[in-house]
Amino acid sequence: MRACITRLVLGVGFVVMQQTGEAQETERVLSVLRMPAWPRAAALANIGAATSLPEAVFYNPALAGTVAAIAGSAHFYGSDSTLNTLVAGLSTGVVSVAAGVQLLRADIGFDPLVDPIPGSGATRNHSLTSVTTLGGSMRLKGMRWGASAKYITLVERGIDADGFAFDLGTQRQIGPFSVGLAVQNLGDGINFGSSDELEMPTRVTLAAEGGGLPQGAFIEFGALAALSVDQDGEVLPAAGGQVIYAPLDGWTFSFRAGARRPAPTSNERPLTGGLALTLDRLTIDYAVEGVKHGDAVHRIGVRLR
Amino acid sequence: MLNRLPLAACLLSAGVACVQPTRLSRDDSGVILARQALNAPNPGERGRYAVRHLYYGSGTDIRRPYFKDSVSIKTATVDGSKLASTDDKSRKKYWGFGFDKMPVNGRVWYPDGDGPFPLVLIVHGNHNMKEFSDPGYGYLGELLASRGFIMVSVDENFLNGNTRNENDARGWMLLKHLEAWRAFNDSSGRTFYHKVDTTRIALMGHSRGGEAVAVAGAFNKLPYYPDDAKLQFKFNFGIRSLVAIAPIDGQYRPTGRPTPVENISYLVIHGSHDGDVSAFSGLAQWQRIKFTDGKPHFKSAVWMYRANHGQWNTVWNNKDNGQRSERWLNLDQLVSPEEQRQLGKVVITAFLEATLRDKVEYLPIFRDHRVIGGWLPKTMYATRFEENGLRALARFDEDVDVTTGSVAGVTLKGDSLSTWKEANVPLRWRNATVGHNAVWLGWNNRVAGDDTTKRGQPAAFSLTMTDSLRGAWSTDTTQAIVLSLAPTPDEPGPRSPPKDTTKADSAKKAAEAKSKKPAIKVKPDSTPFDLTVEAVDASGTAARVALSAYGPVRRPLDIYVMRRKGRDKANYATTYEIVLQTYVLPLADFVRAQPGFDAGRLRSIRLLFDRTVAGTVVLSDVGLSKIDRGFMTVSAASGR
Repeated sequence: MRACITRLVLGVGFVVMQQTGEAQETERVLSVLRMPAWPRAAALANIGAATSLPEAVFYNPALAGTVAAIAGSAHFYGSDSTLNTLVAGLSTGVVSVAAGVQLLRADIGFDPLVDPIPGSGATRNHSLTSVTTLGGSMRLKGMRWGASAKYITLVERGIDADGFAFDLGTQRQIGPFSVGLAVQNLGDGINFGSSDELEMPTRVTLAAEGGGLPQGAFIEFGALAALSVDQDGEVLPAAGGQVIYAPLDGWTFSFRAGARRPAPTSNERPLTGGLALTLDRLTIDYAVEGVKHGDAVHRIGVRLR
Repeated sequence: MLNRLPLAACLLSAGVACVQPTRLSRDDSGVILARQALNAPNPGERGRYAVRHLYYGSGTDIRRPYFKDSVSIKTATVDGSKLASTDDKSRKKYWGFGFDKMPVNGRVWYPDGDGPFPLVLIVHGNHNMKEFSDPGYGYLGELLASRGFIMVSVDENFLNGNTRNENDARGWMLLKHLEAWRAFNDSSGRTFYHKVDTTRIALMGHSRGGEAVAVAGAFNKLPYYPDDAKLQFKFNFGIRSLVAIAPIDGQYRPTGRPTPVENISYLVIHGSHDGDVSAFSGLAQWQRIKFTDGKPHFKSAVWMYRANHGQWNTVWNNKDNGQRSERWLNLDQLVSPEEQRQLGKVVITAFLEATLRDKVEYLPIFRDHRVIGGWLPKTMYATRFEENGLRALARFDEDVDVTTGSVAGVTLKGDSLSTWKEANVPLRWRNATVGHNAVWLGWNNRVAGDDTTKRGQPAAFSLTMTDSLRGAWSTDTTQAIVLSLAPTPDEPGPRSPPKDTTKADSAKKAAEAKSKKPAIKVKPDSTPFDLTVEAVDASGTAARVALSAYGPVRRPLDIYVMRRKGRDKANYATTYEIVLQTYVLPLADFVRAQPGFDAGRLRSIRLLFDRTVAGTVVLSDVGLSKIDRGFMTVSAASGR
């Protein structure tokens, strides 16, 4: 039964990918759906499909709300473009839910993942993209299963457009590893104006994360890896690791690094990094990503459990 | 870089402020343990036998070569599937067997001699199943074998890990080991043929194993497994004594009730700074041990200040909270592993010598630990003691009438007390108790008013016997008053002045005037705590002694186990444990104090709160004992 469902999820993902792969008439994709949704992922090569945090609703709905928390972050692409995220998760024991909002304010025509990051003095004509995501998950036969829906709106030059996308995901704990499989951004593109169509950046990701490997009383190591296949068939491996120094019960300092194969057209560089400080229920995350053209991209976030 | 220094300094300061500094009560061991009154060989030192070792077991263990290739005696596996279960399939994969084929594996330390020798089994508690716990009691094995005991460290690692409600299985396994030992002793040609004294057996256990020995003690006399009578028991081994080391209690409840144990001597030891079983839960089992057959049993509880959970086992050591214990627990304040194990060696060996070998020379240790000041590591201890000769006047849990005792003919009375109530003795854990009642007695001899030196008559609490009860019990100078008591931090406010009936409302006015004054923050009282015990005979002659002559009387000792400041207060009901100290006061001492006092006509026992101005004590298990003279051969005060 479990294998059947897994095959179904994979099958649906690849069928949709093939369909979207065939329809490559437009060049624009809704890149906001590919961007790192929160700083921890940004620091760890944008891997999040196996991580039990509320922000996981943007990566793998099977992990939506497994940790009750609220988190917000801001991602700075140069001086003028930002991606802000707010997410909250809640678990009732049987069912977990999470809701999140991503808001991308960027120069018109500027794709933060592809285009050179502008410095100061950039144009001031902005587009505004918002993604509202609602996801739920539950445990069934030793695995977590989840689904989420995304409502996307785009405002550009006074024109509004909107559309929906859906994610499916599953997750299982295998020994010390959390293994997640997610199919993201299923759905039609968004028609924008008379001729423009924004594609959904459909992606299938298999990810694994292991943590808590102690080195003495105060140091822990964690590692994670993911293999993603994009809608255009690109295979994008990524891996990351973190060292956590926990000098005191409730206090942790995390040092993170990631490496990935960026999409060929991407402005991203392979290496990412970041830091985090947790003081009891409060976590402050910071991430930095190198880009090929322009200044580095910074992201900062706050999470309250 | 420089502008980040303030941030780093802030973080560092916050970190330092969040760390709980080492906070220990002032050590009085220099006074309390100043003398070695008992003149006998130190039971913590090796005996005269050379020590031999061997392993027995299934011989098929895939994880431990010593239970495979080094096994000298092969044993059959046992089916414990009625007593333990798990959904975790990885366990079977790891061990190569399930609970239906549990091996009877043991590592043995035995004396090189003819025997027959008493048999002592020790079993570990729950721990990471892959870090094997059974080697951790080698220090006891070497010691006990050198003194003429066969000691077996029982392997129950396959019950460890993420198991729940399996303590019946742990206890049952001990009895299956005893079945194996009966066969070893009966089989000619075997190493232990006729070398085991099967009438002198002790079971020892640590943590969950500490509860398991009580379960085994109960199962030993039952015909069937209480939770499934399809499993028949045929044990009836000669178990004379049980030793529980930092045990839990109540994980297994036969037929939903606390495990009852009767007519077996019992020793429980526990550390104040236990980071795992962080309350003295073994006191609950200690209270439930009953002596009903008139044979010379006794029970003792030893609470060691600054001892933890793991240092009783050389594998576990100071990792009470797992491998990352240093992150959670303040380990700096613990006594050293050697000191902690020295306490274990001394009291466990003395207990086994007394209960398995009938050696009386060590009995006084259990009545008053101060008699072995030279053998005990220098820290503070609280000890409980009760022997089969105790006749209880008041245990405080028979009814809800605070004026009645445990037997008909006993009347309890308070005088000038601020607090007089009966309740269950709490443990440090929230909403947990030892399941036994005590009486709380609070007093303040100061009279409210501007004159802070003004005192009223000392508060008192008395237990009075009727003539008929006195006649039936026929007291004499060979007997002793026994009581268990612990001060609490509570200090009632000054008592109201007596009403002056000649002036209307004078007392009320005085009280009103006082209440208008700003409250004064009272510092915790650090003066020595003491009270007087008064025995009164039928003719009214009173004899008095100070309680502190019979054992330490201490205010509660600070217990801050966690490294993070505030965590102890958040996690536990109190930052101290109420551990009652047992005092044995020979009636002969009252005669010495007041030669006119007639011990044969004892009418009442009075606690007179005249040596400490204000305080609250918890009192329980007050009685008279025809105590075995072996317990009284030496006194901490006189050394006689």
